[in-house]
Amino acid sequence: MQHLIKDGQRVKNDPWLIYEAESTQGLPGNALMPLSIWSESGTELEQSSLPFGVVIRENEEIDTLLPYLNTIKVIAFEFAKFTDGRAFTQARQLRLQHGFKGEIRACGDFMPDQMFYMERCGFDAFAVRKESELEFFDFAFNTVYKYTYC
Amino acid sequence: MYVYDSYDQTIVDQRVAQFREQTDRFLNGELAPEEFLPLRLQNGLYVQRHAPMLRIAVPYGLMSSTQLRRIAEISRKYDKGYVHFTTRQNIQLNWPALENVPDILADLAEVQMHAIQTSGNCIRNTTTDQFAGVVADEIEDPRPWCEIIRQWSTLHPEFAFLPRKFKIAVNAAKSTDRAAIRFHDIGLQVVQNDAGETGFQVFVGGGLGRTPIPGQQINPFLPTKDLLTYLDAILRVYNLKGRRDNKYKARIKILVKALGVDAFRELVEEQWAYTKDGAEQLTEAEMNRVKSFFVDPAYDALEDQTDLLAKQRFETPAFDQWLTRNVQAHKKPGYAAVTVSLKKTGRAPGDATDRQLEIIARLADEYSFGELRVSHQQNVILADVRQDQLLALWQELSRIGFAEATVGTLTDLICCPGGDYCALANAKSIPIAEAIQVKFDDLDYLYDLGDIDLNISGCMNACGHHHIGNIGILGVDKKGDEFYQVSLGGDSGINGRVGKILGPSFKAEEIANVLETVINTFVELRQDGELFIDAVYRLGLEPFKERVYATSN
Repeated sequence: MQHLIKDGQRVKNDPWLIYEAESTQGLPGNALMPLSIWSESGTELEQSSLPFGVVIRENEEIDTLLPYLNTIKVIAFEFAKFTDGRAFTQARQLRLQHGFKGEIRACGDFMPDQMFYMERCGFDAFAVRKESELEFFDFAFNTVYKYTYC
Repeated sequence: MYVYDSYDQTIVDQRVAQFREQTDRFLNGELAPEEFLPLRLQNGLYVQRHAPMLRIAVPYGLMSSTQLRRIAEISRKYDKGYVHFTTRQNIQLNWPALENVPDILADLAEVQMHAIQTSGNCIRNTTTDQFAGVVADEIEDPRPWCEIIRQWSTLHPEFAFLPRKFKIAVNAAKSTDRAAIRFHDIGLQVVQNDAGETGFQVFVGGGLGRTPIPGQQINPFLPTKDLLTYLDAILRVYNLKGRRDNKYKARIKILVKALGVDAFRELVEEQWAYTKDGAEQLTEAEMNRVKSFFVDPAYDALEDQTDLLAKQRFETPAFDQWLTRNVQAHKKPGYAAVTVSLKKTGRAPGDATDRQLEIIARLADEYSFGELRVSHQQNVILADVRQDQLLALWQELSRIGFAEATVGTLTDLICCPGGDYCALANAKSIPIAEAIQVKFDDLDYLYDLGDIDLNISGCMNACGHHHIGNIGILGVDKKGDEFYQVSLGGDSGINGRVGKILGPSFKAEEIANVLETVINTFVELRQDGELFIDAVYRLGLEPFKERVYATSN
């Protein structure tokens, strides 16, 4: 995740990495692990002193994650297709309905043009696809998109 | 009508700047076509058969003469000098160049117009009764609710990438439904409860397209203050649960049908519980602010002009016919609402040239407080005309061919642009419309037949609402040839029924004769003064089938 924007700023050395874990054995800190690990071993992960996160993929629901929201530091939604807007609602639910205070990150196939919508839904970090999209981000956030109805 | 404040204006201006930048990136090759696609669609821009097509939003069909003049100017400057009024109360330009679209949007923004969310998988323009606010048979003016929904849905961050498009319609008339709310993703019927409080009867999951189905009631009485939180809850469930694997099964109607309306309601209630009593609830102040834009214009205190009109009717039979068909009773004594017919034979239904638009704008200024409406039947309404000025208005409209006294009859047909323009269409629709108008050119005969809705779509997408026409015609493709399927018995009103297919489809050149046989069958079997739609229900399809397929064999 080299091209990261968090809270409106570019971040150079982001420690979080997607870690395709199959069990909780030997997990490094700052691992974004699949939802299934949390569903199966969430209570175990809660005991760890290391910071952990989760990556949520297409067709996955957030329900099994809810008991662990106080432990989870980062929830990353990995977009398989930028036209799939489900994570927009899931992010809103996490913030408004479940009071999640950690980071909500977008990664995978999304467009910088969507970031403004995403930010209003509760996303606060964006791992964009390429360098040029970082520049676009500066333009977008500083010139247009400031006004909205809801 | 609603007037933008600086906040509304800034939103629209910024959207123009945004789209200009997106178009630049696309033209420079920085944005892939599939990435530009949802961005241009959400700004109303399709790529069509011959050129892009730009759909301009006319919120709930209401516009000012100033806005109409600007549309005329734009059509002259950037297009071929004509526009098309759509079945969703919007306006389409058929030939704009992609690189000019940002300039067109900038010109529109100057008169408080835009093309935001007129296409794409998002919440589209909210539609309503073209006679909203001027008919007596109305609980209250539905337009403030439409405007509140417009603001809520415009750039709604959560619902810009839905499984599929989403359409909301509002009706406030008590005994009729000119907005076809039962055939929308969400239909809102303004109602009053026993305590005299206003609320909404909410229907969900209605729609046309490949799977035509009337909406089902999800809530019998939603208090007005809860409108937006409830809509949010419905959309939230749809956004999460609607199918995304097959675009033909992605509309909310498929979800509601699959779950059943009761299970769907439970999911909505579950989501609604979080926000129901929260900050998103509509305040009295906000409702009143929006309502204040829809107060009556400065009507003169008049009496109904019964004697004058009777005299004018007697002296001018053509005016008499026009008055009967194209003029609607008004809530205010001495006033009437006039339908300007865009259905003259030989012109594409719903089309108007730049010059004609400018004349309509002038007539709106002179006769109707500078405002006009677009109806989903693709006509224009001047809603506040003094009865003693009807004759003068009729004369002016006759001069430009907009006084066809056929509103509500067979030849006041609804028709999509079809294969002549649209890349999606299987078949042409405009020549079919014309063949029918030519065949049924005897006004007295049309009047005897009474009200008949004839709706023509060039493909399954059903932009011409063929399913809910009393007679529906659908263009289908058979091994590369254009064929037409006929259905009978559709009803867009309170009864909300989908028409039934008569049988095998017909060639283009057969359609006008098939219609003639259908109509002859109706005339033959009709009981005293019976409406076509009632006769179809009474008789069923059999007698029509027998005769139509007997003659064509």
